[in-house]
Amino acid sequence: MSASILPLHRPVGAARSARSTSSWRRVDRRLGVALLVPAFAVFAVFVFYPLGKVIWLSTQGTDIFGQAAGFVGAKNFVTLFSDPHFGETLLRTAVFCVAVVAGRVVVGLAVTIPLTMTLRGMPIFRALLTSPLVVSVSAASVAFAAMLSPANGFVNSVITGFGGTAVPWLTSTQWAFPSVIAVTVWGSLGFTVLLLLGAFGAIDRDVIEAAHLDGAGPARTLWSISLPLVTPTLFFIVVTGAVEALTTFGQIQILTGGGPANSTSTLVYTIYTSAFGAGGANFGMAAATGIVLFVLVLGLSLVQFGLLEKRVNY
Amino acid sequence: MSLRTRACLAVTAAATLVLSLSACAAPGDTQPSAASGPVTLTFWHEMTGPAATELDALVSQFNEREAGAITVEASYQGSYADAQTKYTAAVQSGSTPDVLMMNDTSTGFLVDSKKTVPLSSFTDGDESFSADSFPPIVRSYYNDGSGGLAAMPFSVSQPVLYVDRALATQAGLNPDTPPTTLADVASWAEKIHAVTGAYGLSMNMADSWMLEEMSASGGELFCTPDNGRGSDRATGLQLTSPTQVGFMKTLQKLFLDGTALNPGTDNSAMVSAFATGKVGLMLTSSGAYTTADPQKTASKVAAFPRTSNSADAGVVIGGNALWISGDGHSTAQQEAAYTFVTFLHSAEVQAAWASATGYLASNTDAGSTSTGAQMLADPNSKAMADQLANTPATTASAGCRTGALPALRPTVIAAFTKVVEGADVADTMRDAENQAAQQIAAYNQAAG
Repeated sequence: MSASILPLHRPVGAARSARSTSSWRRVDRRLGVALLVPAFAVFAVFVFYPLGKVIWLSTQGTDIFGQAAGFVGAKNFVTLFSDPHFGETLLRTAVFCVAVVAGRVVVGLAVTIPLTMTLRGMPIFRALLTSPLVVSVSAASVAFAAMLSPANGFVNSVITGFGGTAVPWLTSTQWAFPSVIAVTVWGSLGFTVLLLLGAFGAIDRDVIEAAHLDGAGPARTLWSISLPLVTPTLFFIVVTGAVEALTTFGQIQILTGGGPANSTSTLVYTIYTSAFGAGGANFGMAAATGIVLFVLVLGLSLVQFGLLEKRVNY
Repeated sequence: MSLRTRACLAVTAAATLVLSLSACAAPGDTQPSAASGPVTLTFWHEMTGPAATELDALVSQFNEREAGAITVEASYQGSYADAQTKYTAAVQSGSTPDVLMMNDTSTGFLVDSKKTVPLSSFTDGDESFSADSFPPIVRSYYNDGSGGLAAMPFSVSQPVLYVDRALATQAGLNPDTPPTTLADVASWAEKIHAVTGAYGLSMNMADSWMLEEMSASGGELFCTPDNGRGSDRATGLQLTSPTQVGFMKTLQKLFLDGTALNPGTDNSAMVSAFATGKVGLMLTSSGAYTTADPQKTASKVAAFPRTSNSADAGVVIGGNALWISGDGHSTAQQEAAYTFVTFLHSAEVQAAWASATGYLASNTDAGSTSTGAQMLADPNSKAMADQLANTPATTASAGCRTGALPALRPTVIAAFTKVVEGADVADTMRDAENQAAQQIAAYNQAAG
């Protein structure tokens, strides 16, 4: 049952004359429109206008100052899709999105499930493991860049200290992409753990006890009772995680600058380099790429709500 | 809706339209008024740390000297890339600074922008100004195409070879007779790596600067035709000449066998590795000197190695220059801007600037000042100053000029990164040439 702040309908059966009802409807309509105006104004300024501008820009050529320099139709999109590097970027973006979301769910659950146990000192562990939540993306990226630095970084110092060979974490095409994914998953871990702790904590203890009385072991209880009951939270993590992954920028910029050899350059990063990167100012191409990203995010969200939500137990 | 309400709405809409149209008027349409009396100049720069402190001091010194006549308001604009982005926005809004500091690679873009006034249009009527006050290679780099200067060179750097004295000595090499060719550098690097276990070599990998320098040090053009310095604009890059393929194969071997350290996009990590004795040889900017060797005794700074015996071989300068804005700026503002940039070029200021920042003095008389002489007492500083003074002004050493250069550098370094991971040199660099040709064509079309 839902409750709204304002009554959406007048009580049925209110005795009013036809004239009076018609007059009320008119007032209702005006009030409704008036109440929508602020929301519409905000959306118009911050969503509809920029969206319209981006669509318009995507049909424009640009001069070296980034100013629109004439209608070019779909040329920017044709250029984009005929560039073999764009296909690689799309694939890389998809892999990044899937890896980050999967990592977020799997690592989030792996960290959270032990934290649900009632042990002495557990609040300290919970606080520690949710602490990435308060670290900004840029600060974390700078710290990881220092730790993963090829010669003087902490991680390689430990590896070589134990007789191993230094790993080019951020400087080889083989390692840079997984490294950026790992840092992104770490960055979102605090929030994921916090959400899952809340979800597991909200499970009715009676249900768990009933499962135990029926002979279910911890693994069976987790798989058949606890996990299904936290699916709304998992669904939220998947949807928001996918959108966040598709729009990831800060850690790529700080850790690798899209390199080496473009191996960490995702769709949103190419938008930045087209518009603001070295010698960029190609706002037409950036806008066209932005529209592709918009369509992808929209499509992915629709698919998630259409398919995944059916498996969620509310 | 009543008639009165409709009338009100119509008047409001008309007023809004008029205001909007007036706001849309191109800034260049407004003729700058001739200023009289004191002039205030806006100056955009991209200096941080000690360089920013010194620059602020120099601006204050100028403001005191010109008290009541010219006041310079300096403001930091972020990195060079940030500044170029802000400058493009400023062009759109008609609020460009009177004086803009911009790095070497944006020279082509600023020339194409036609928003700045060539420095030569001021120096032509200034008898006190001597073009000979610049080292030939500096004058050549900022040439405006008619023998004059497009902008006032301010900070100048060049790539050099840093040798870690302790590691070289430990490997049985004499740091006071450093290698002069890339082949010798490779041989030294392998020996240092084999004997000491440290990396033999590292170099800038954040962009293609080192490859541009190695092309020039082999007398090769980096972009064609004529490094973009002839009558025609650059239309392509040259990355597959025998000299270029040769030096890239040499480097490829060093990276593949673990002799060389790839620092990725983090140049500070490279300098830090050298400063802490983890790298024997380092190819990077002269500007890294004070960070790489704070005591100025642990390293030997040598000339950038040659990659061939070509008579055209040289080293391209880096750094930045000062651009005087034209469109929307009054004659009085432009003349005041010229006074300011001339002040920053004076021998005393250049000596102070070089001494405080590690840049090389772009005024040949700077060494005669007491500050300059004191600085040149350090053999490493002298080696850098000598390289700048002795670099021949050839087409190769003038470096590539195209407004697309900042966008081309990631393309080239991406290909080179594949090379150091084992890709075929000629094929990979040919692909980069093709991609670069498309990028330059797109830029040239945008530039009109």
